[in-house]
Amino acid sequence: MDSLRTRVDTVAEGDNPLGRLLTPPGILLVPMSVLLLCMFVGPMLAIVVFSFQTGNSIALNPLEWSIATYEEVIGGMVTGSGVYGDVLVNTVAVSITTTAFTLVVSYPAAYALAHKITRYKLVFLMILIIPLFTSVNIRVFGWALFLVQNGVLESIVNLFGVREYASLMYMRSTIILGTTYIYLPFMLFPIYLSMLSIEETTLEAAKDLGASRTTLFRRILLPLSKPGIIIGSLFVFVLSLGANVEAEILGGGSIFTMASNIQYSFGYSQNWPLGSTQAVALLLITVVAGIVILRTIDLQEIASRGE
Amino acid sequence: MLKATNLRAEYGSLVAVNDVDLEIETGEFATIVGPSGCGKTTLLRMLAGHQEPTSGTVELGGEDVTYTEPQNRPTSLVFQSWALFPHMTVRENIEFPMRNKGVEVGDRVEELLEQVRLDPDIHADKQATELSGGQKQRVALARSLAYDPDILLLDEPLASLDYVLRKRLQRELADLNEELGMTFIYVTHSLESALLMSDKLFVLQDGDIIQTGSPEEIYRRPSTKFIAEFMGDANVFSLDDAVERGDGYEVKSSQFAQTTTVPYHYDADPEYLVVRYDDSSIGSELTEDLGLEVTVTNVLVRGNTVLVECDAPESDGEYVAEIPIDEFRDTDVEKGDAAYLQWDASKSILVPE
Repeated sequence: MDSLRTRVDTVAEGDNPLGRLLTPPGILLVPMSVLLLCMFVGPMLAIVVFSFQTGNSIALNPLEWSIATYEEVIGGMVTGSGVYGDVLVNTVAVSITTTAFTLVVSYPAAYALAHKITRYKLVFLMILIIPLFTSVNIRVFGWALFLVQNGVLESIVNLFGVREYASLMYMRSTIILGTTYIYLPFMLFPIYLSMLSIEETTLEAAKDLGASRTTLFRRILLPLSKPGIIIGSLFVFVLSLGANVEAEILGGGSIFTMASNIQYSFGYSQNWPLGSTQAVALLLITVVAGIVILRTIDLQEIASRGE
Repeated sequence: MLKATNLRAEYGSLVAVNDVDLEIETGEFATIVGPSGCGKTTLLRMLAGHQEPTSGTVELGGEDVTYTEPQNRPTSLVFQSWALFPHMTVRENIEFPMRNKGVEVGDRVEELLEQVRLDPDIHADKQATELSGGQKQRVALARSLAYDPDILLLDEPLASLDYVLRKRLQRELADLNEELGMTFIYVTHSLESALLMSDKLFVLQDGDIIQTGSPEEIYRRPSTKFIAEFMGDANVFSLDDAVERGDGYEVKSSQFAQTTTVPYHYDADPEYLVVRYDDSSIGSELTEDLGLEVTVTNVLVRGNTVLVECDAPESDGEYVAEIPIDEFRDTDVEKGDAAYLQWDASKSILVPE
């Protein structure tokens, strides 16, 4: 009986990859793979196909192919001119500044929460987590109500006798304010977790062996928390690249980022090929940025090991 | 010389270390020994500067260092978990304190690795995480020595190693202490380590140092029942009466078959009589100064000796005699027999509660 079962198993496994996929460990991945195929790969292909269609259409025409939208979008981005040049500059500026801001704010907080603060730590973490239960739209509209002309901030400022209130809305820095606020937890938590994995005794040992505060930071804390910094930066950078709600509401139609411009192309101007081309471009930028972030930090690590 | 005066540590209402005084001479191997939770690690951390005392002072060579940061103290702590830097190689770990002090590295890493008996060619460029427990322990020791401290503090760094390795490292630590002339302060709950390595023992119970002395003094003359029991392998009998007679006390207990006079060294009235397993013997006749009737419940062979476990009639305690295997064969006593557990009066240790 046993030998029979073994034979059946060997036949089923065979050398056939499909057969291997349908036996126990492989079969567990099947539902996930099917889901990804339908919901990620499929739409992605559709986007790529649409990006090669002639402009201003929302129907697929198998006889007409064109790279006109690529010429327009990529051309604009490369020369830095026109709408697409502005859009690229806005997008990259928002993403880089947001990543830098969230990193600078999160790092000390993550260290303190992981190693120094014991009282009210849970309360603090809850305050950071609870906003994530609320929709991004609601939180961003909150900011809009606060900053807009005749809004909350203006009334407060008026109380102090200031009559000339210049609106703080519809600027690049307004978008950065929004993305920094919305994506802060995505930077904080990875760093916090990597800080938690640093043993208290490791830090004590460093002090015990005569490390100054700067040495402790540079040679112990920074290298050991690096995985958190990489993951956090990747999260925030990529999420900011695709931040469309913030750009749309706080940028209010005067500042466009790639994400909000894509939505504009698909929605308001009904130009699917143009939207698709921008989507492909954004995807490429995201992939390149991801690789660059992972690489730069790896190289830095090698450099610091060699010193 | 290290001197702590009235050192106290409180966690809220809990007193972890209760106004402890201790003095340790330069070059001494001192051990602070006590059961888990007695405050020994807290005490060590205060000496290392990782914890501020609630009150009291620590002096090193006459200088007050109570509030000096660990960075600026000439002490180095070998942690229980070793605390090697996981992202560095063995060499980088050992160079770390030297670079912090601005000392020329040169061949020091190789020298230190040889000192802790690790082959530099094999181990120096390994990642710290690739080492086994014993090797990590040695690297942690080398790294602390690289700091060139006046006092090396060790927080049970051998606790998680296996028996054979622990034995070997204990001996090596004792040798190293002699070789370097450096003061070692070792913290442990293991009596065995304490006896083997130290020049001086401090017994800590519930945050108080209850006895100080050489290992032999404490083994032979424990000052309380707790220490006698903690030092291990001892039969403890509660006394009904003890009457002062010249240099000693005449002890009476309903358990004992006779009364005898036993020497005694402390002020408090003795309440217990302690006798070590290996000072006890067993026989079908009562031939020694003191003894009681027992039933042999078990006989366990421990190498050259046997442990004879016995029950006494009017007591719920279990008593043990550890005797050479040949001597036991001569007695003709077997499991289940009635016999006398007995010992020489001079081997009795009287202790207060």
